[in-house]
Amino acid sequence: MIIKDIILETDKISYSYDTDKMALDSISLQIHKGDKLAVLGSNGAGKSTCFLTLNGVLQPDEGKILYHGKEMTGKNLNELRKNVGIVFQEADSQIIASTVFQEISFGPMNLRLSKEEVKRRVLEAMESMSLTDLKDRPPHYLSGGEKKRVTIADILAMEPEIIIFDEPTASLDPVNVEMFKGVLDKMAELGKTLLISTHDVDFAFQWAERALVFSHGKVIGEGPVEEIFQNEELLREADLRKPVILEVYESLVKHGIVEKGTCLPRDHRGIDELLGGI
Amino acid sequence: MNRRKGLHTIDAYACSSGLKNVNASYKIILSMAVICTVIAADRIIISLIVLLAASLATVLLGRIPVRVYAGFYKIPMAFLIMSTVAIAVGISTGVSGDFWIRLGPVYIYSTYQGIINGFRLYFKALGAVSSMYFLALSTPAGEVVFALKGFHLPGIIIELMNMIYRFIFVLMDTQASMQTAARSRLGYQGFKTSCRTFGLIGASLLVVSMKKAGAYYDALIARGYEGQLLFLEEEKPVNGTQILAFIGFFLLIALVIWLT
Repeated sequence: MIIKDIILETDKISYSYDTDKMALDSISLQIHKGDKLAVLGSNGAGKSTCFLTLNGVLQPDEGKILYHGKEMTGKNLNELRKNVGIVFQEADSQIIASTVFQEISFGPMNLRLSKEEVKRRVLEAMESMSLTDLKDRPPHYLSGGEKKRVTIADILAMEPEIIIFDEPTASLDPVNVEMFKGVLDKMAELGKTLLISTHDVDFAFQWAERALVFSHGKVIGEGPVEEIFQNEELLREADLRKPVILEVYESLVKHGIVEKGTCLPRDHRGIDELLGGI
Repeated sequence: MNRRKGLHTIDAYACSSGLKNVNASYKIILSMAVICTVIAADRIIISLIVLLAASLATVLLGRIPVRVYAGFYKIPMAFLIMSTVAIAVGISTGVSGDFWIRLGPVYIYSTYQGIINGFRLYFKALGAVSSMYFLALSTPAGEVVFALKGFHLPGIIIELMNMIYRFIFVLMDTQASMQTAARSRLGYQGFKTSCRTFGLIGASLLVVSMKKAGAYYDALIARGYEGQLLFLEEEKPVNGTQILAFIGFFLLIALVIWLT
């Protein structure tokens, strides 16, 4: 595997909302340029809290956050907010303005860009999320999928280096999920670094290259997705299940149809190729 | 959800109005100037001209269905008729006025002047309402707020209005879903239960609002909020025809006032 530059890392960060329970317990992680990282773990495992610290909304009680090797403290937290964008789980908790156009302009306006530049970015973001027709619509007349697209466009318009999605597929119908996958591919092409937290292990297995596993405020596993999902003990500890594709592959191996050690299929096409090759 | 229909429809019609793309400040100034004129002129003919012009503009240019438009007059009509009657009609114990009806010991009476005053007031108010509806049905509330910014209203008021507009809908949606959930569990069976459910929903709306406020704040910070809500406003320039229409309309009104 090619060693990529580390752009964001945390060094033993801890955070607690109140004194008795640690929401984040000494977390150290590295994010490389161009990563496609799935963040897994059950509800309340600390994923969302971790995202908020990576973006500078929450400041860790202990530990350091390094962006391009530079330590982020109170003064330059804005640099984190500029370069790390979060698409929140609930679209309704992110949308603030009264039209789609204004909403998407909020982030770029906060970056103190020129009006022309803001306009260019807003139009571009609307274009890539197919929102151009809804430009003047107030957000409360949009459907759930449309709202989600608006919140993604919000972040795209800020053109951050890293984009974090907090359970993006939870509120989307299959059509919108497909569209979302297309957006992810486009963003990966543009060289964006992507972090996605999800409960959809099949999606994570198919899309991600690397995975981080959270449990009770700790990172209990980190590595290539193939390794993570083949580690039975880790999955049990984090209350995760195996992706269906992997289960199918394993039973194909068990029944001697497919040889062990062949290339792991990531989706139904991979299975098809594997079986076609016999 | 019948209860939330009123607000939703006015706002929804404003968003799909044919006059949506006209500069909001222009519409505000126009409708305010018209309201002031109607009140200052205090002539039935001026009120009628305004009523006609505002209705035609809303229905033809704004493409609001006539039936819907007429429906919006139901509530102001009811108020107007009641208050006009109160002005035109009096009660006394003796015979007075130009007309009277005796009801037992009291007389209900009216005068010619009283009736004329009543009509003048009625049409004056109707003209003003039609002008207000012209604004409300052609300009989404959010745009009105942003236009007020141009009139140098303090930023804090603008931001508050903006957030209130957004959160009214968030809160109404939350309330509606809670109400549906309560109804599906027989929460509105009988008066006593309904009262209890109403109280419970009110209480949890408060809690939900507090939680939402926290989530919103995080989301604002995450996008670089530094104490000021900045949005890019799209410029909608006023064109020559609109300025001519503005001047023309007031010339017409001036002419009518001069003639009568």
